[in-house]
This record gives sequence, C-alpha cells and structure tokens, in this order.
Amino acid sequence: MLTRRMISNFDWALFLSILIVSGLSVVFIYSASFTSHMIGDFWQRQLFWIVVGLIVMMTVIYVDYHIFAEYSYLLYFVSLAGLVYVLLFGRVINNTQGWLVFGSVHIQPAEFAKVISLFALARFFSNNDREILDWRALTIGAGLMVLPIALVVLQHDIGTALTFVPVFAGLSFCGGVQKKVMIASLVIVLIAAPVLWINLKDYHRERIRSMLDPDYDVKGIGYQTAQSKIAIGSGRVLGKGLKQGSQSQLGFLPGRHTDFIFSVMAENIGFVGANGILILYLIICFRLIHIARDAKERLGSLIAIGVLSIWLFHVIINVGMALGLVPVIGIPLPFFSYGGSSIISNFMALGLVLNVGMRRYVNQ
Amino acid sequence: MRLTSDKIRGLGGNSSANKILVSRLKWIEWLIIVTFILFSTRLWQLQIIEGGRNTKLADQNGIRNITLMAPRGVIVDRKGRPLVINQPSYNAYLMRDRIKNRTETLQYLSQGLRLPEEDVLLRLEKFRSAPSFQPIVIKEALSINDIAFIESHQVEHPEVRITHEPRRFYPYGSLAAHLIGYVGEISESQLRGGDLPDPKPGDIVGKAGLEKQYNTLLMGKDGKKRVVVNSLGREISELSRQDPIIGTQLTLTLDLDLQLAAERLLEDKTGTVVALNPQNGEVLAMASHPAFDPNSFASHISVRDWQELLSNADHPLQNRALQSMFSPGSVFKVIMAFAGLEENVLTPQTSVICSGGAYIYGNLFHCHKVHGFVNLNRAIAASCNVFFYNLGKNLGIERIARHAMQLGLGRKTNIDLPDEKSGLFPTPEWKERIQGEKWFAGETISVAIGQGSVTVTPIQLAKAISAIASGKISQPHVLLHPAVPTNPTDTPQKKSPADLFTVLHADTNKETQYPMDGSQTVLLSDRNRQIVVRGMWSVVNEGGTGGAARITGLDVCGKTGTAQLISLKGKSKLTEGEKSRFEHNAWFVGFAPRDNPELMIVVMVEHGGAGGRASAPIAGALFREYFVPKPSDSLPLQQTTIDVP
Repeated sequence: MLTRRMISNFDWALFLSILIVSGLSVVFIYSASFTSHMIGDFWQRQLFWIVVGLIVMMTVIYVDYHIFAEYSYLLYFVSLAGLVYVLLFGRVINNTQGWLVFGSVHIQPAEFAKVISLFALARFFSNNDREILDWRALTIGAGLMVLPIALVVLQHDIGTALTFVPVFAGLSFCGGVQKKVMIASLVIVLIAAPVLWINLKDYHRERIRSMLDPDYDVKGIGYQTAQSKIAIGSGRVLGKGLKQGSQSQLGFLPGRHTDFIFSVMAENIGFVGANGILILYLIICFRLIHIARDAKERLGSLIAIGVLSIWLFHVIINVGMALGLVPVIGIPLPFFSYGGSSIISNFMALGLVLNVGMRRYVNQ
Repeated sequence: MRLTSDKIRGLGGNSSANKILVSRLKWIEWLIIVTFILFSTRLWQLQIIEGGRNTKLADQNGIRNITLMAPRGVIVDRKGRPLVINQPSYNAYLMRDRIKNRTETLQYLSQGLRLPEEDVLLRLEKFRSAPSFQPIVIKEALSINDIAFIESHQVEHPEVRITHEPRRFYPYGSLAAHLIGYVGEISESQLRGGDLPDPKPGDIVGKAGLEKQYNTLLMGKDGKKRVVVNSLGREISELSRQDPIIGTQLTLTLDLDLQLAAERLLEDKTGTVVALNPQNGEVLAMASHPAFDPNSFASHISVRDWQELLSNADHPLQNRALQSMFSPGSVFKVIMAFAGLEENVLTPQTSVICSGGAYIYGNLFHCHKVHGFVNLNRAIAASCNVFFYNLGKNLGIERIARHAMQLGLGRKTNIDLPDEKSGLFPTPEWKERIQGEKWFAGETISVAIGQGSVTVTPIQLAKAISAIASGKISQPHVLLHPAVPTNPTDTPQKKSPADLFTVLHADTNKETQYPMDGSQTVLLSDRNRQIVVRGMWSVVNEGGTGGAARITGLDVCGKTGTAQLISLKGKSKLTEGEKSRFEHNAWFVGFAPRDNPELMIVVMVEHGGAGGRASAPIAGALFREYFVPKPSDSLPLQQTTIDVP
C-alpha cells in the first residue's frame, strides 16, 4: 500500500535520470543499427523491454521491501535453482550456456540471480547484532555469493560471474568489515593473482595484455578496443550527429548495440554529449548514496549499497573498456546497452532502491 | 502494517552502526568522483587532444574484409583434356557505403561503363539485405577501356573499385553445354534454401548440368583477407590473409573427340545425340541442339539475353537427351522382340504375312508398306508393323510393360545430371489411376510399335538398348568412376553418383539394387538377346531400314524409328507450312561391334522425317569417328594455352 507520504518521498531525480538514460539508449541503438538489417529492429525491442522494466519497477515499489526481506532466502534458493536449470537445459548463445528460450524471448537468469543474491546478502548482513562484521558473518556471506558465482562460471560466462564480486565487496565494506580483515584480504588477492593469471584461458590473458600495451596485436584481439577508441575520438567536441558515425555504421565496431554502445554514443554526440551521459550516471550514483545514508534501517542502506555496487562496477568496466582503460569484458552498460534481461533486472533493482527511499520515514 | 522482525535491525536506534556505514560511504563517494574525473579526462584526451588524429584514422578506416573468390574445380574429359577452366577477369565492384550521391553514381555507371540504370537498380535491390559495407559486383570481365575509365575517375568516384578474380571459362563455347551446364549468381531461393553450405549473396554457383549437380564439390572454399584501405578505397596494407582453396577437379566419362563430332553433325538440326559405353554406362558424348554458350552466363546475364533464351521456341536451354520426351516409334520393336522371346510367345521362326495393314479388334492398323511374308529377323530389319501388331496382341500390355520397365523405360535413369524427365510407360493400372478410364485393347497395338502414350527420353532408350546389346543393365553416368578424388575440400554433403542403381525385374516385378562398377549385374538371357541383335545387324547390313549407318569392316547393329506426331488422317488436313512442324521424329539407335559392343549411339532428330534417312547417317559418321583411326587429330580449340589455376 502506498501512502501520500511515501509518494512524496519518491526520488524523482534518480528516476528521471534513469528514464533519460533509457530513452537515449533507444536513440543510440537505433543510430547504431539502422543500417544493418540483421539488427534493424533492436531499438523497438529495447523500447519494449524498457516498458516491461517500468512495470516491474512499479510492482516492486508497491510492495514494502520488508516483505521481500522475509522471503529473501526463499527467493535466493529459487534463483539458484534457476541457475542449475539453465546449466542443465539452457540454450548456448555466444558460448554461454545461460539462456532460457521462450519463443523469441531469451532470458538470462544470471541477471536476476544477481539482484536476488544482493538482496539475500543485504538481509544477512543486516541481521548481525554488531555493526562490525566478524569472520563468521563474512565467511557465510561469502558463501552466499560463491554459490551463484560458481554456477555462472560453469556456464562459461566469466563476465557476468565477475559482476557478483562487487556486490560482496561493496556490502561487506559498508557493512563494517574490519580494517585488518581488509588488509588480510588484499594480501590474499595479491598472492592469488599470479595463480589466477596462470589458470586464465589464453584469450582472457590476451585481452589483458592488449589493454596494457595499446599497440599489441591491433588487428587481432586489440581490434575492438582500437576501433572503439577511434570511434570515440573521431566524435570530437560535438560529435558527428546521429546515424553519422562512420565507425559504427561501417561495421568496424563490434557489438555496437550491446557492449560498445558507449562508443557509438560518443562518436555521435562527441565530448559534450558523452560528458552529459557521465553526469547522468554520476547523479544516479549520488542519489543511491543518498538513499543508503537516509534509509530507515541497516537493511535498506545495504540494499541501496548493493545496487550501487553493481551499477558502479558495470559503468567502470563498460565505459573503461570503451575508453581502452580496462580489458574487454562483455558486460552491459546499465540502462544503455541493448538486452532484455539486463534492462528488466536493473529496473527491478531500481524498484528496490526507490522502495527503500520511499519508506524511510514510515512508522510501522 | 507490522512487519518488523527482530532480526532486522533498524539504523535509527543504533547510531554507532550508522557511523561506520556512513563513513565508509564517503570512501565510495570518492571512488565515484575519481572514476568520473578519470573518464572525463580520457574523453578529453581521445576526443579533443587526439580528436584530429582519430578523425583521420576513422576516415581512412580502414579495415575491410575482402572475400577472395575460390576458383571452381576444373572439368576435364576422360583423357584429361580441359572442358571447363577458370580465367582471370577484372570485375568492377560497387561499394554502396561510399556512394555520396546516388543519382551521380548511377549516371557515372550508365555512361562510363554502359550499364543500363535499371540493371544497376535491380542489382542494388537484390543486395538490399546485405550489409552496406559488402562490395557488390557491378560489371564483370572489364575491357581495357572500362579499366582505364574507372582508374581515371577514382578520385571523384571512389565507390567503384576494380578487383581481379577467377571467372568460369568454357573454351569450347556451346560444346556439351547442356551436360556441363553453367554458373550464375546465387538466387534468392538458393540463399534461403539451405542446400548450399554457407551461402552468401553474390556467390557464383552452378545453375544447370554438372555445374549444378556437383556444385558443392566444384565450389572450393573462399579465402579472405583483411586490408587497410584509404579514403579512396585503395589498399594500403594487408593485415591478414587466408588463401582460397580451389574446388575439386572433375574427370568426365566424356570423349572430347566424339563430342566434337556429335556437335558438328547436329549443327544445323534440332535434336540430340547420346553415345555411351554399353558395357558400363559411361556417357562418351551427349549433344543437344540448339544449344547456348555457357560463357554468356558466367556471372549475370543481361535481362534481355535471358529473356531471349527463355522465349526461344526451340528451347535451347533444354537438354533434349534427358529432358525431352518422345515416342520411341519403331525403336521399341527391339524391346518387343526381346519380350516376345522371353515370354515364349515368339520364336525366330514365327512369321506373318504383311499386306500393308491388318484388321485387329475390328480396326485397321497400317504398315508403312507391303512386306509380304516376314519372319522375326525380317520384321526387325524391315520394321514391319503388322508383325509387331500381332506380337503385341499375343503378349498383352502387362507383359510388354514389365519388360520395358525392367530395361528402364518409364522411369528416370538416375544419371548424375539434374532435372531428368521420367518419360512414361502406360499400363491399364496407370490409365485407370490418371485418366479414370479403362484400357482399350487397341492401345496395346499402338504401344507395340512404340506409339500411343509411350514416351521415352533418349538417355532411357540408350540405357535400354545397351542392355540388349551387352547383355547387362548398367547405369548411365557422366562422372568417371571411381573419379571423385579424395581432396581436403571435400564436404560430406558432396553429391557423387549413387554407388548403387535400381533395376525392376520383369519376372518378379521387384526392385533390386546393383553396384555400378558392374561387379554384379542383371544378365539378360543370351540366346534371346542374340536373336534380337541378329535382327538389328540385318537392319544395317542386310538391306534393312538403317543401311545408312553401315561401315565396311565393322559390325554395326541398329534400329531406326520414325515416330509419328500426328495421325496420317490428321496430317492430310494440314497446310504445307504446318506440315514441317508435325514432321516425324527420326530415331536411330545402334551399337558396334556386334559382339562385346563398345559404343552405343542414340540419335534423335526432331521433325527429321524417316529415321533411316535423317538419323542413321549421323550415327554412321560417329561410328566411323570412333572406330576408324584418323592420321592427324586437330582440335578446333579456341585458345591454345590453358591456365589451370
């Protein structure tokens, strides 16, 4: 039930920023794909997913998040079951066995598992009596995240699996992990990194190397990054205008409506436009921090922090990748890249955060 | 609404917990600020500082994927002489993504390269669904003038580029055009059809004949290269390259000398010649006239030429050897005689008196002349209808049909060429099913002399008479066996001639499969076969109807056929002009030598008149060509050096 007070606490700045970003995504997906008949109608589908996302968001807002909290562990296990299901019966798309196919609709359960896992972890960390997370809480919390990560890794979707990590990092950091634990973890990561490097697949290693050395193998693995940088750079101050991006339209830019949509945008509307988009993301991040700070209780704060962690991570990796600062990992830019599952799960997360923000003063 | 559980701790009452969380959020705020400053700086660097350089890179960009067309496999005759090769050709490509002004480009192409605007528009329409960065062929086999024109206008019209590619070349022009077929640009339906592995718009594929039948084998594998091109579309450097792999070479059973002779003999006629080895079914020559020049199809034929070929009343695209169905006429008497002997309805001594016709079932059936007293041998030699009317009456349609079908009439021979017709052998059961009418006894009498509803293709007749000549039923085929070479480009979907062929047995009415290599085969009764062959020998050598095929020193056997297209009564009503269109079809079917025959020849001249006059001399000339050695063989080759890439 929504009261007038709740509605007056609706975070319009956050909502409108996201609505603008989503609207622009349709424009740039159209701009990136109108020449190609293969992906010609992607902008229409994106629009459809945004509408579906808004409905999901409103549904989530309507129900008090404490009710979700009651069922968070149940939801968590349902999402794990979903991941196991796709592992056994899922369809392989782009080398990833993470897809459920209903007619022409492809659903990636991992995207939803991410939001649900976040919720379960926030709930678990908010249970803790103390403000400081001890080893035990941290270990169980880590366990909560390791299960879905492992299942997603088994689908060969390393990119998506990686996006679970910042949820744990963000929640445990703000949840009150002790400094000494942080230092210890850092040491462990430093020791584990070389081991991980050795065990990485060759093409993952190549990607990291091509990022560190920009001239390394321009025609091969560095091709995407090189083309993306040319696309962004050739946009200059004001951009070439919509549909005018020669880089994107010539097909030099791979994944131009999904992972490299930022490059298309920067080529089309230049430095001024790209910074405008960055500012919108900046507003979104700061609104999330605001909600986290003003939440009614620890649970609400942690939910907002979890969502912030996910989005921030996606923005850093995706934009960093387009700018040639981060290795090429196929993860979408929230509300901007084409993709139904990502759009809907992000609107679901937005619903949760708005939910927290609206109920901050409500007496129960 | 009460929901708070004890487990969920509020922040409000616990300010110390709030403190840590809030202080840690400060850290995250800093992380966000630093990240966004870093991003903005990087954008500044790429777009403002390096903007000019990146713009230039984008303009030159640059990197294009170019398909390197794989040459199709070469086709050679049984002695390795090339019949189809590839020739380097300069083609003009249009790069649609570089068109600045459509009208200007169309004007440029129509004036400079003499391409009609509507042709160019049609091609653009055809490639509408292909990505715009994919270049499309706009004109093939450019002349020196065309090349000079394009080169000198590169600056104003960078959208047109010259590429050098292999092009299908048929050095003998229309020779064996129907058998070899032709190639052309892949059609819309083939693109969607899924018969071809990995089809792309613009691919050159086989459209008819062997080019179609063995397309997958012949196609090879296209290569590709990635090059950096400048804003004029010129290649600056090559980044990577994967060379194309040539298609598989096909060795045919065809004998070029015999084929050339057959083509020459048919030159001014409408008809077909099929020559094969009766022992194993290897096709040595197959000519069909009128013909066409497959070179004119090699990529895209102009709309006008195509319409002309399609609308020509003589159907030059039709392979008459296997796509035209004719009444076999008197040639069928050979099969009748064999069936009669097999069924013990007939002995060599069986005789009738021919008085120029006979009343059977109350109707008068004509003979072409009064033969008087005729036995079996004489009946074959002189082609007496009355003898075979009686035989037909005694055998009955069922038994005739069984033997005709065992020899392969009324069904496809399954030769390894596309679009074969099956012909028709009528039975009462067939008539009941298709026409819903009862079989008239009189129809059997017409069938007995190869008229009525019986239709055959020349290749079928060649197969059937080969069986009588050699004693074994074999499968006609064009690809030399075992000729499909093991080649790394072979794909599993390759179409090789079936290793087995089917024979319908006359006695059991069941189908059985036999290997094509002849290791196991249906043998015909030698005694009865020899009697029929003796009759066919008389046709040519003892004053029979086929004397024109006679060659001294060679035992040629044969049978003429003069198939009516219209009844004698009907013919008398026609005007002179119409008469030529309804003139009889002339058959000659023959083989040599009499024992262990090596060459089987079927000649059909449409509206040629009497088989003995129109077709037998052609067969005779071919037997001479094949068996009589010539001092010097000179080939009328169009070019002397042949590049085999």
